[in-house]
Amino acid sequence: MPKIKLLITICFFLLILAVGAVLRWRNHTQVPLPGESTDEYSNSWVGLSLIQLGVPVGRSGLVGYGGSDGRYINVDRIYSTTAGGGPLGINKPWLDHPPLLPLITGGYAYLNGGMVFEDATARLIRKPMLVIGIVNIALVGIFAYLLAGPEVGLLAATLFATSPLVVVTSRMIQAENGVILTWLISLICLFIYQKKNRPIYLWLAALTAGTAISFKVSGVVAWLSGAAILLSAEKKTNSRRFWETALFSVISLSFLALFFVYGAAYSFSTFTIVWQSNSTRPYDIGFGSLFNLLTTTKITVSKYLTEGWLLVGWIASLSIIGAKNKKLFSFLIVPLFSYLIIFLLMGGSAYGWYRLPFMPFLFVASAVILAEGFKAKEKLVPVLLALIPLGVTVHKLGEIYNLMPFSQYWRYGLPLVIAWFLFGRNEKLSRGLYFLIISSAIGANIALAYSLTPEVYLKIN
Amino acid sequence: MSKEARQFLPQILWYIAIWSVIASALFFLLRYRRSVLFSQEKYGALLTTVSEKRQKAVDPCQFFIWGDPPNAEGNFAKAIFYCTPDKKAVNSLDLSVLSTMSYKAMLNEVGRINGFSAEPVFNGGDWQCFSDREKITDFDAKIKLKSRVECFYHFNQAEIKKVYAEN
Repeated sequence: MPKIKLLITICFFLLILAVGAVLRWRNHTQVPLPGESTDEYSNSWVGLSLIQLGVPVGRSGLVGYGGSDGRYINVDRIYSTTAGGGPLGINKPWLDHPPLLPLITGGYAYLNGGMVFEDATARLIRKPMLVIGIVNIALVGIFAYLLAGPEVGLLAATLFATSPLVVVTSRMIQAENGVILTWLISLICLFIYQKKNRPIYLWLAALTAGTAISFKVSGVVAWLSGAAILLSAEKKTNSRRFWETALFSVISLSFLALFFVYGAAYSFSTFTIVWQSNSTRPYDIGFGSLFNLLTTTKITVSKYLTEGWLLVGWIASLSIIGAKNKKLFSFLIVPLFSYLIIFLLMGGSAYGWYRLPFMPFLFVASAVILAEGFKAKEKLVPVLLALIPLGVTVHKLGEIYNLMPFSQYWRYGLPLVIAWFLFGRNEKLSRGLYFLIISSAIGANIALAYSLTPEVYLKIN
Repeated sequence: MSKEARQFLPQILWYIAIWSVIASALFFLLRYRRSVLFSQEKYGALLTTVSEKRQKAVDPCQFFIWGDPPNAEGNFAKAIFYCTPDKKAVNSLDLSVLSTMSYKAMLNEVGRINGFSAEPVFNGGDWQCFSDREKITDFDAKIKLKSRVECFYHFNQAEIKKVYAEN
C-alpha cells in the first residue's frame, strides 16, 4: 500500500474509533436502563466478592442451587425503576459461568472504591465495557482488513462502530462482549499463522480462544471454529493438520478444564448440579429460534431495537457461501455457523446478548458485499441491501423526530433510485449515488445511536 | 514418530505439565483465600450495607419499592408512607428477607432499601402507623401477611379518616 494511502487509512480508522467511542460513551450510564438486566450487576458482584470474600457471590435463576438467599440490593435505585418488587436471589458460591468478566468489572469497581454491592453502579461498572467495545471495533476493522482489504476493513469497522444495536449492547456487562474480543484476536492470530507459519501465532490463537471460554462457556466456539479452520487448511499434510489442531485444542480447552478446577475448589457437587441445570434450561430450540434470530434484533429478553444490518449480514453470508472464496469461507462463514451451532445448542433466543457473537461476522459479511458493490457494474442487489438498514433506521428516527416534511422525498426518491440502478447506465453517477446511499445509512446509524436517551430508548422498539 | 509429532508432542506435554502445576496452585489458592477471607458477617455486610455514595432520602416518601414481589406467594406486606396529604410512597416487600417477622424489622428494611432511618417512625410523636387500619402500638409484634402498614406524618385523625375514605 502506498504511504499516503496508508496514512489516510490509519487516520480514517482512528476517526471511526473516535466516533464509536463517543457513541458508546454518550448516555452509557442510562441506556440500557440500569437494572434492565440485573445480570450486569451480578457479574460485577461476583468479582467484588471473589476479591473481598474469596467466594463468588452473585444472582442466579438456576434451580440447581436448590434455593437462594433473597436480598434487596438497591444499587442505582433499581427498586424504584426497573427491578420489580422482588428480592434478588443470591447464591454462593455462584458457579453459573467462569469468572473472567466478573473479575474485570468487579476488579475495576474495587480499584475505584467499590466496597459493597451497592457501590457497583452502572456508572462505574460499565466503564471497562466501553474500553472492550472500542477495542472490538478495532478488531473488527483489522479482521476485515486481513480478509478483504482496507476498504472492507474501514467499512466493517464503521458499521460496527455506528450500529445502534451494537452501540447499546456493547455497554452491557455481558460475557459475550468479552467472547467477541478474544475470539476475534484468536481468529486474527490464526490467520497470520496460516500466512507466516510461525508457532507463536498458533499459541496466541489457542491461548486467546481459551480466554474466550474464561468469559463464558459458549466461548468454546473460538475453539470449535479454530479447530475447523486448522483441520481444513490448504497445502498441509494430514499429519500437520492433526498435530496443529491437537496443540490448539489442548491449550484452548485447558481453560475449560480450569473452570472445572475453579468449581471444584468451591464445591464440586454444586458445580456439577449447576452445570447440569445450565444445560437443561428451557430453550427455544429449533426453527422458532432460528426464525427469531433472522427476523428480530433484541437487547434483553423483551426489549427490541429493530435494525436492518443483521438481516443484510445474513443475506451477505449466504452470498459469500455461494462465491466459494476459501479465505472468506474459512474465517467468516465457519465461525458464523460454528456459533450458530453453539447458539442453538446452548443459547436459544431468550436473551439479546446471546446474539452478540454473531455480530462481528455479520457486519464484516455486510461490508464485503457492500464494498464489492462499488466495483461491480451491477449494483442493484447491494443497493437494495443497503436500503434495508437505511429504511429501518430512518423509520426509527421518524419515531423520535418529525420527518414528515421529508416523507415525500423518501416516497418518490426510493422508486427513482431503484429505477436508476435498474436502467441507468452512467457508471460514475451510479457509483456516486451508491456512495450516497451507504453514507446516508451510516449517517442514520449515527443519528439514531446519538439520539438514544433513556426517554427515546423506552419509546422505540 | 512423524516429523510433526516430534515437533508438537513435546509442546503438548510441556503445556499439560505446566497447566497441571497452575491448576493445582489455583485450586489451593482459592481454598486458602476462602478459608482466610470468608465470614458470614462479611458476607451479610457486602450484600446489605448501604453505599456511602448513594443519595440519602430526605423523607420516607422520596423513594419507593415499585411493583409487587412476583415470587412471594402471599408472604409480603405493603408499607405506605404519607408525608403530606399529597405526597406518599408505596412499597411492597417480600417478607422472606426479614430475619424477624415484626413491623419494626419490616419498616427498618424498607428504610435501608430506600435510604432513610425508620427510627422516627417507631418513636411515636410525629408518626402514626396502622396495620390494616388498626393502630400499631407494639412495633415488635408479629407482622400480618399481606397486610397494609400505613404510616402518617403529622396527620390528625380527620385527615387519616379522609385518606381511608378515599382508598
